[in-house]
Amino acid sequence: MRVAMLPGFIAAFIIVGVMTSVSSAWQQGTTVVFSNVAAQAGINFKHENGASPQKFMPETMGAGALIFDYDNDGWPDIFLVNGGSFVDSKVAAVARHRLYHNNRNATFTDVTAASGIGVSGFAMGACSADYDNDGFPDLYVTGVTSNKLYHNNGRGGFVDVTAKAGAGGAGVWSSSCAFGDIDNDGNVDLFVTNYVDFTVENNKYCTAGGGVRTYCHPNVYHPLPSILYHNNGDGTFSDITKEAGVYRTDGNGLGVVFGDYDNDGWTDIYVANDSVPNFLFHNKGKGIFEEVGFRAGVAVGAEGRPLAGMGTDMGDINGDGLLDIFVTNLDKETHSLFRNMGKGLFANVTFESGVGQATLPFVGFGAAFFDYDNDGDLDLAIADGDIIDNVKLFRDNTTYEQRNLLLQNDGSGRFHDVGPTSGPGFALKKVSRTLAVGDLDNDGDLDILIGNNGQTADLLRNDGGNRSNALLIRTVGVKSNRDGIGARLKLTVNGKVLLRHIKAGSSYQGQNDLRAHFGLGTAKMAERLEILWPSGTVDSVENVEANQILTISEGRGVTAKEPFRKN
Amino acid sequence: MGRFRHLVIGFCILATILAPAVHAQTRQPNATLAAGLAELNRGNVFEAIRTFKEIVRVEPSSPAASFYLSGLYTGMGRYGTAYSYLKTAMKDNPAQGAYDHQLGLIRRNVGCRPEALSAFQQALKAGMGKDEASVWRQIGDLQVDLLDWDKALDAYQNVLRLQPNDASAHLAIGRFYLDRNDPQRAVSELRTALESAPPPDGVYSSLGRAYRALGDLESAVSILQKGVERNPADQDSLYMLGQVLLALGRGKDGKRTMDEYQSLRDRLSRTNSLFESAIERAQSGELDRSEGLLKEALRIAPRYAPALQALGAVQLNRGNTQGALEMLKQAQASNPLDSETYFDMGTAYLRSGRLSEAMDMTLRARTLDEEDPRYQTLLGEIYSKMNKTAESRAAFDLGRELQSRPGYRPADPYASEMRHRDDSATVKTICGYDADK
Repeated sequence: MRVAMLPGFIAAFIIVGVMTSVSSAWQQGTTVVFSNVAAQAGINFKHENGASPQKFMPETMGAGALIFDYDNDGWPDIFLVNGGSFVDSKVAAVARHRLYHNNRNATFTDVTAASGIGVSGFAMGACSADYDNDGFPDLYVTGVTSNKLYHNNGRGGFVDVTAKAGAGGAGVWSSSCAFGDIDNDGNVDLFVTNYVDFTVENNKYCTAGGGVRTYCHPNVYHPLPSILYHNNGDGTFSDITKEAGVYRTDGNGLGVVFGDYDNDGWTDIYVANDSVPNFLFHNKGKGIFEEVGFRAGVAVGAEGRPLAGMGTDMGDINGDGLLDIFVTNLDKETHSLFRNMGKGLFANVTFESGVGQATLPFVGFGAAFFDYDNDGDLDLAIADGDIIDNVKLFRDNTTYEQRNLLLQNDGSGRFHDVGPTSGPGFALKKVSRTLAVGDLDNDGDLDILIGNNGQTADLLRNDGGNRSNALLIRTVGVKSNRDGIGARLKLTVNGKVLLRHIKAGSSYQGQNDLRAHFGLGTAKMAERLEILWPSGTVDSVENVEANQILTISEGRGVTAKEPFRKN
Repeated sequence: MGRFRHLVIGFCILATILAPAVHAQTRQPNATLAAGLAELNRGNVFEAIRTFKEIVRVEPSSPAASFYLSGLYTGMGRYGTAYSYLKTAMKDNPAQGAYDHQLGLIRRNVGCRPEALSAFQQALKAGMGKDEASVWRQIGDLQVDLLDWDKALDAYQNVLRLQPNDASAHLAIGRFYLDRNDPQRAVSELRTALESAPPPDGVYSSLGRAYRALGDLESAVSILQKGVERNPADQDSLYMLGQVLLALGRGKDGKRTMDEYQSLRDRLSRTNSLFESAIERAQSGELDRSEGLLKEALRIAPRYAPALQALGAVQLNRGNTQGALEMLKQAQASNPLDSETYFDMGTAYLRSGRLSEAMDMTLRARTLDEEDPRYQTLLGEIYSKMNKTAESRAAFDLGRELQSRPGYRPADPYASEMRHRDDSATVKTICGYDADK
């Protein structure tokens, strides 16, 4: 014992030394720092989860969030999804979503009242795309009993067009949603994940650790088929789930992301399922799908067992031009990283990549591939938080509130947890659910928006990411859908090709800034930018200068440019 | 069936390992105890329980019999009962490593890991003799649960220091290296684990994974194929084999293997879902629908004991006594330690007028679970039919008394496996929590 003890002053010296070296690293600008600036930015939203003794399962599952530029002013705005209450009508009545307008000065204004977006009705998540190609992004909100489609009137207002559009869901519990053009007809289609057949009336009584009532495992309910809506191009949608080959009755769907994993020009769909195998719907062309998750190696964990899939994202982690897949799961399962090997096959590289070790103790929900340090490769941010609010009563090695993760990519697809040295934003411990990324202050680095269950939302400002150079690209489709959703962007920098794809909906119940972000490292110019649009049109721009926001219109090239707003 | 077989093997090993130590500590054995142990070693777990209980009935403070009962009830997942027998065993002589080891096992199973760890550490301190390795193995597993891999590794290495050929420790260390992205060392450990007879579960798939991580896909295929040949239901090896074959470009073989894997998985998940739906239907009174679903589940998995027991109960409640008995006999063969099966058989025999068989089965149910008032009530009915009025009245009275005890909750006849969860107060007691804290 005497050997193990350090004299107090030496221990204190070491601790102070460590603290000093970390904080001076922040101050000296060698590290990117994330700070929660939600309150000072005017984001005062607190999610209402309606937590009750009855332990209604949706209470612990929501807190959707998305970043979208609803007024097309070039400054990303924020939408936060609210829950409600199953037992208290007064609480339910005041649980409203929040729309925050970006004031272009690091603050936001709550414009919910003028937006026409009403009471929550116990909602879960949201996604956004310009479904009618009128130039303004519309909004889809998922919920426990109904989903809503809001049409953006271009004047700051949203009109509920759910009934007219025929896209209200199946009256069941929906979780995430995403838009993508499955048949490349220029209109974005919509995928909505449905979870389980919970209703207030069939709420189950579940216990753990000796009679303590807890939120239930999804397996006590029945899985529900998710829905694929085809956009008819006239403001209406048709449910084509069965015709398109994505009707499955065995998926507890939570997360979804579109992406063309086999580069055949048709967008595919990946669905994260909770405790049952995940789905990879391969688009065989023109929006006809085949489920290939098992064969591709992305349905289950490394040992062939289904994991508790929550959120998901696709991105090219190693610069080979192929989209890899990430899925968040429960603690002790590890989250999953599947590296795309080509030919429709993936290798589970969870442990080889370092993701396994970093994620093993955490219950993950939202996740995003993003280049937070502008070094050119995709890093990972992950929102964590247990599902069981009273988990401490019967499990001693975890907590409901957990810290979120920032995993830095070393460029080869190996990841290291750098959260603890990345500022106070990643030291927060909350019940995080949704995570969305975007350059909210247009300064050239990516900030993070986090929806927390039953708690205030966080806005993690990135300070220092833009010490390296970057580019932001806004795509405007002409023949393709207006937002260019599904477009593949290849940027050549110093001979290396970086791939990004435009996606509207990913993570868990949320969506990132639609603009493609490229970190350029020290390069002041990229040799070439090539955009492959869903229509098949290819645009390219040579010698692209760093540190600006480019708008590129399909077939017309660069139509606007704006420098970053660095202080 | 597999679970029960493990239980029996586990008990036999436990008895063999711990018997000399416990006997020395408790100044027993007597002939009855030896008979109970002999039953245990023959795999007659029910008879062993009956014998040990008889000893406890005659001598309530008997430490050895109580200790064995504690181990047996731990294996049956009845931790409250197991703890209560252990407390009896520990009363006169608490500072015994074997008791602390047993306490650690119970605590680990109810989920209080730090307290379990402390019990295992206490066992080491008290001395476990030649059984020290098994305590270190438990500590290693616990440290994995506690997400402290370095301490887990230390513990497994202690196992190997004491028992260099311990296959489960080599497997655990191999997996540790695999998860730390050190496939070379993983292969070495896993190969050692594979050399033991029989090799531990999961070693083939882990070694296949390690070879794959090394890039040696041919070796991966070879070892995974052996795993699947040895156990065609080894899902992990089958999945990994399919993946490796696809990665090798052997598309046809890979696709066929993945199809086999998927079919195996579908069968399992279909059985579970049919069983769950059947239980829901039975609970809501739709017995005909439930019977159909259970028969469908048993068509896929003919020896699935919970489905056999549930189908027996459903048929019994639909008035098909003969059909119920046939199902329940199969259920008993698959799992002879389910008191609910004996209770249902007792009811069926009573309805058939076969009173002595009804009595035998009901007493078996009561032997396994002395706290269930329904068993006493059924005994009362059987005694009454036998014109044994005094015994009948006593049984009814005891049934009423058990029913009036605080915390009593009526059992669900269709979901017997769920009945024996301990309440929070029991768990807190087991874990040594201050109830008022």
